[in-house]
Amino acid sequence: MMGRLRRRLRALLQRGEADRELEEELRHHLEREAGLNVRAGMSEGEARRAARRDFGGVEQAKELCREARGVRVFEDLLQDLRFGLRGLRKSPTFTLAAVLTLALGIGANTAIFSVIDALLLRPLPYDDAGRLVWIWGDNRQLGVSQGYLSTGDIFDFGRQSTRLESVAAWTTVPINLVEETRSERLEGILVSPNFFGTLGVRVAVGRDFEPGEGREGRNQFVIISDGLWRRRFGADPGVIGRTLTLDRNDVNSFTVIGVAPPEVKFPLRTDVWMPDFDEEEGDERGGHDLRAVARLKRGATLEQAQDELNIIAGSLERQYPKTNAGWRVTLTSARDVILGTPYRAVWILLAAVGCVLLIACANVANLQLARAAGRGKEIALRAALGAGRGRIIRQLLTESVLLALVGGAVGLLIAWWGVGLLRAMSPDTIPRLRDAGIDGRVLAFTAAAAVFSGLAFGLIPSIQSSRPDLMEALKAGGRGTSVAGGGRRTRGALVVAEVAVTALLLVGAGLLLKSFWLLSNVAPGFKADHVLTAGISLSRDLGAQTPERHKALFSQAIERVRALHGVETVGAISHLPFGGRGVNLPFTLPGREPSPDADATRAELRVVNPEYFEAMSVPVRRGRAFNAQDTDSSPKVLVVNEAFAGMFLRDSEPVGRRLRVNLRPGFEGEVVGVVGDVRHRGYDAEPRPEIYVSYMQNTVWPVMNLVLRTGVEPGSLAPEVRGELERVAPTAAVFNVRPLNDFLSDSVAERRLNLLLLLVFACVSLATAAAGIFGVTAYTVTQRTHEIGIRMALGARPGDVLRLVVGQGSRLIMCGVGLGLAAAFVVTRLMAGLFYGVSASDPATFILVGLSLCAVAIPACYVPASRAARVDPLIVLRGE
Amino acid sequence: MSAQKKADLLKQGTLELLTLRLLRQGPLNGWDIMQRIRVASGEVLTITPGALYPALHRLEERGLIKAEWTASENNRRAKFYELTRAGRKQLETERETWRRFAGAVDAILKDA
Repeated sequence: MMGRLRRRLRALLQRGEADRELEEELRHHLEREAGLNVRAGMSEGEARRAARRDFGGVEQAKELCREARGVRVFEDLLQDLRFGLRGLRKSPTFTLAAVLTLALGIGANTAIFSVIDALLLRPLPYDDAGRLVWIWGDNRQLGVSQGYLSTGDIFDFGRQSTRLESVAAWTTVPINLVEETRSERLEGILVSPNFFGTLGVRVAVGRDFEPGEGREGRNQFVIISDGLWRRRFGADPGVIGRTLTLDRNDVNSFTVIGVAPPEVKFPLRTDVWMPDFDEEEGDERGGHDLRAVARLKRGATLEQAQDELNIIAGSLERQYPKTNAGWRVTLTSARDVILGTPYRAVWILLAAVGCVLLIACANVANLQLARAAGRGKEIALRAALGAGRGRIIRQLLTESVLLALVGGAVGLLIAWWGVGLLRAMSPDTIPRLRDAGIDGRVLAFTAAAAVFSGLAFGLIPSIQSSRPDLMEALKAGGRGTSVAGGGRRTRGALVVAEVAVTALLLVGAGLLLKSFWLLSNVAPGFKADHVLTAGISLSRDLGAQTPERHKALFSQAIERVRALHGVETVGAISHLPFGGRGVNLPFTLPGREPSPDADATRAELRVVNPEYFEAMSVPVRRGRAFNAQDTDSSPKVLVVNEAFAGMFLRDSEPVGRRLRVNLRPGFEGEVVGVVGDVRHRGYDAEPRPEIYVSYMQNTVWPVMNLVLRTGVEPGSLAPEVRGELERVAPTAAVFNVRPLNDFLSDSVAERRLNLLLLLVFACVSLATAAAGIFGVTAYTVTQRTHEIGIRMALGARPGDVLRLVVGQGSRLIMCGVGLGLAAAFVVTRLMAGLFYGVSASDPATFILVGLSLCAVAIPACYVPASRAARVDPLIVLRGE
Repeated sequence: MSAQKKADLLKQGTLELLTLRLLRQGPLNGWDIMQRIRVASGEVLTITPGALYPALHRLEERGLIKAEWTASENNRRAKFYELTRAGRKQLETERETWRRFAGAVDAILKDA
């Protein structure tokens, strides 16, 4: 194999010598033959002529010998490349237009591919991640789907399952890192000790948790994230054994036993992993507040595990009818959960960007066809001189691929810039997007995309122009009309395809745009403009041990920021709307038959100050809000939202009803008011039943979020507010000092990114398609100048010519629009999950896209048409 | 039998087989090979240089024969081909294949 390659290369490099040797070999043959003839009695000259005659075609034999040596392939390629470069240099406008179009298409594809690569193709940082599954709690009677699980159930699944290797429990908690002078708020996660083992993650430094370390009293250990390790400990490997003072429910010191690898950011961002949950301790089944991740046994399938857990959940239900009635589980692959929504969106974006590339290819193919028409004579000449059809196709294809590779190189620059932009815009919910970049795989993709496009846009024109009618082309002199005639239908088809694909993209972008607009206009139930938020997380140690002290600190903080210039009202709430956190508690309505299932009556609990509703402009629908007279010494009162009143207090006037919330210690009070619903978990999340209590009535929450309604731009107050709060509570962690609008905007960041990308792609393809239509019409007009001249000489007026040309273009455009909309009707169904409040076949969007596409495309053929209409018949006919 | 038909008898594979066989006795020049095939077959098989030389180059490309330039009888440089080890092996297999093929055809022709 290598020997052959070497021989070929040598034959290629020392081509001159090989040819000389071949020449000599054949001459030698002729001489011997002639010698034989002389011996047979011929004269010298006669003998030589006879030898030549008997030999046959010497040149042909040489060519066959060269071919036998396999030199041809290389030689041809070099020749084609030389020809291609020369051709491209000869028509710089064409080359520039084609390279730019391709660069846009290939660049956009490369950028999106690098995102796909980072999000989906690179393996998850867990060993054998395909075996990881998520276990969700479902309860159809309670309307819970993909909900939480209880400790006892999770342990039972782990113990009883034969299909699961291990099951780990986890839940996220905010934690304060308490230091001498101040605190920092960390993202914590409580895990069962087998958590890292289940995920298949080995700690980078130190050791993993050991069984039993979740037990109360034995759980004073933590594993910290790579980020925290670097930030707080300067990546000191001696961190193992050091202690951290952490405040979860109580302040305790924890010993660092390990550092997690940098790529593990479970679930999104975590600073500290703390062991919790113990099999011997925990048989708690009432509270469903944990997540579970499990690892399938080798060879077991998701379906098998699902069947088995169904049986186990059924037997638990019989065993614990009080707590487990109706509870079932659903298993999904961890991959789907971790990659989540971006998963689908990204494939749709890739399809969209693929469409952009297709349009770019169609355009360049059109340019090629037009150019090939001009080159008809050159090609005919080559065919006449003996170039085979395959050889001509190969040469034209080489030229196309060369063009595409240049386009790809420029596209790489565009992609490099685009990926940087994407990284900067990446929403917090897709942390892996930040890892996107241009690496070897992406480069390989670009190269493949370039070669593919080269073949895609080169094939049709090269086949078309490789079968010229030789006689016609050579006879026709300067006007290479023969190829043009054959190419007209192809060009028309390409225009139709371009317009159709553009219509498809525009419909997709249009539906996303409408969804986004509808979603952003959903009233969240509060007014976020001119509101600044500031979170304070109090440590229970360090001078704030008692609820009284806690309350005093919050009151003081509220007073101090209210005094700031520009602040109008200061509200405070334990769980900020759009803040991503909440707490869900069971409650009872005294005097009413208690529900058989304790979980049936649960509601979201919020602790607020009296001014909260005013500060957020949450309307009071009935009764009153809290006021300063609702204190520890006055009767306990509650406020509920409309959803709560509608669901639980439908049978009578809600104001005046009594309610008992299962807080510790129990909190029972009278409903004094009903407030408007707030979309707490996002624009697209329906409001849930909520109970509000006042922090003044001994229900202090350790974390409060101040909401400041300001008369000035809220962001401008941030430094002052932060400073003030840090002075009031030096040991508290102050966080999230930012305009409330930022939270709202973050909640739609993913949608916005999808929308933005699809819009950009749609616009690029619209521009490309318009340019393509312009080019084709202009070319057709040039080709038909002669015919138009005759028409005008025979009495056609400029208006007739205009109508003729625009009419022909419009027919193609309409055809494309129709096809594209029909395709969109089918394709948008696949995107349904990305829409909000709009049907996948929203008629308004379809009509608008059709009209606007026509509005852009028809003028694109009007300009060259009007030029045609100005043709002077005299000049044209004289040119004949 | 017309010349055309005679030439057709000599398919490419057969030409290669005969060439390998002739080269087993020692290095030969292209012209020699042509003459020997003509003479040995009693003028039944004639080959043209246009077929022979590409075949030689093909065999060389496949590594079955190798070429060397040596002085010929009238003191001119001539290209002589000789069998390689791979060529020798190839000849044995091809010859065996040919024998079985010819034997089979023969057997049928005799019976019929």
